[in-house]
Amino acid sequence: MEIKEYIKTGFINAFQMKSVGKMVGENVVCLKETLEDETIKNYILRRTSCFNKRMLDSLKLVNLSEEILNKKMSVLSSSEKLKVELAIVLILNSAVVYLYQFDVYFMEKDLSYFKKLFKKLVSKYHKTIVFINSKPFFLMDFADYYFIEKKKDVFIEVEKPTFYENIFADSTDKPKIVEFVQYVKEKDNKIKEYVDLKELLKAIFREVK
Amino acid sequence: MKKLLEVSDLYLESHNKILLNHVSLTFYKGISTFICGTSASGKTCLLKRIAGLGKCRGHIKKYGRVEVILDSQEQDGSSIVKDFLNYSHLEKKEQSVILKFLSKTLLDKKIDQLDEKNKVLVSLCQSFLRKPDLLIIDNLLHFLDQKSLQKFYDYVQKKAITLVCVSTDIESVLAFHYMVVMDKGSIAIEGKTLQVLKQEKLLKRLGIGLPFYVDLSLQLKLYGLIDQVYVKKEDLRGALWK
Repeated sequence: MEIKEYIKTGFINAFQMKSVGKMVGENVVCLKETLEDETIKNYILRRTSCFNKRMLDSLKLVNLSEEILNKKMSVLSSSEKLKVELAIVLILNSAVVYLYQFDVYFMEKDLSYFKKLFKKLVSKYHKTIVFINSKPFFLMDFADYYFIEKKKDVFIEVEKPTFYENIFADSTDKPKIVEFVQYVKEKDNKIKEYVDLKELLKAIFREVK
Repeated sequence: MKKLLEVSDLYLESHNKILLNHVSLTFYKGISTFICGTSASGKTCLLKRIAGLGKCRGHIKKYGRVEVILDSQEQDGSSIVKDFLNYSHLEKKEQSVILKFLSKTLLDKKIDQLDEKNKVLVSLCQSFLRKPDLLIIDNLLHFLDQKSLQKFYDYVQKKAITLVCVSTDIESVLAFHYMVVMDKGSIAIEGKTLQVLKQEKLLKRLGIGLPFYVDLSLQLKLYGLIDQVYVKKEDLRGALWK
């Protein structure tokens, strides 16, 4: 089944969507094989045939400075390479952007920045963002639709999951907040199912004070 | 404590940007270390120098067998896993190490046909066969599920391999004794893991989040509901609902 058939406005996430993951198209943001001696400027030019304000704007959007253009691919870290790949997709102005295991390479500060950027890309520029992740929990309060691979090429669609349901709740890789709330409930302590730490904190305060 | 690796005063500059700014670190036998930092903070750059890829100023002294697995490490995708690991020529004991992590059917596949998890497991097996004293891994454990990760930790512990991991997965830091935070090519904070994690304001400024239980504990402590940091669900619940 084509992923495009599923796409609605908003965010989509998936567990091990291998068929898409293997698709290394121009609108897929993942680490790609590059010529190590090539400069970033030449790499972007080769991929987009574009050197104008749009290129500089896209670099700025992904938090890269112009100075990076003269560097060689070999000196970039994996996270910088991914930022370059995202900038390329933005230059190409694809309607759908696929991000393959994107969160793996970034820490909280960078991820918060990119979450804001992706929200802006959806709301202001009407893009559809598809995250392909084996552990999708970094988007816990963020994605609108999830497609979970049951078997090869068989997906279940879940709209705005609570993460306390079925497949998410049973996962061994569940988010720690879900793990804690489930454990507390098992022990007969009253607490609702939260995915936000501040909300959980308030609830605990009300409950145990 | 026995030293396994000592890096002193590493300095590297490229395109007028300092990539490593007089970095010094010592890794000791039995003390696992977690290294983190935001994008381009110098983590991978440091590991590449330790692996002998590229030059820089300073000294690197190895006192044991040191293995470095980089996230950009190229594997010949057309190779069959069995050939890549030289499986047929290994002793039975060594073959059993591989079979702990990879199924027999996977051994006959090409590396290209494997998913990320199994590619990482192939790299780990390759390193285990070299019997390292110190294993340094660059942001790859993310690709393992809980089951494989536990198997990996158990093996490392059983074989007394000292582990150094560069990772963005802050939840996994609690499995390590020592924590190093890098920022703009320098070491911003280092120390025993829990002591570093208690410096939450500084970590936040450096763009580093906290593991869930530590974060929740620190905030509950602020409200006077508990008096220490807990890292396990059982302990935290026990302290709250006495």
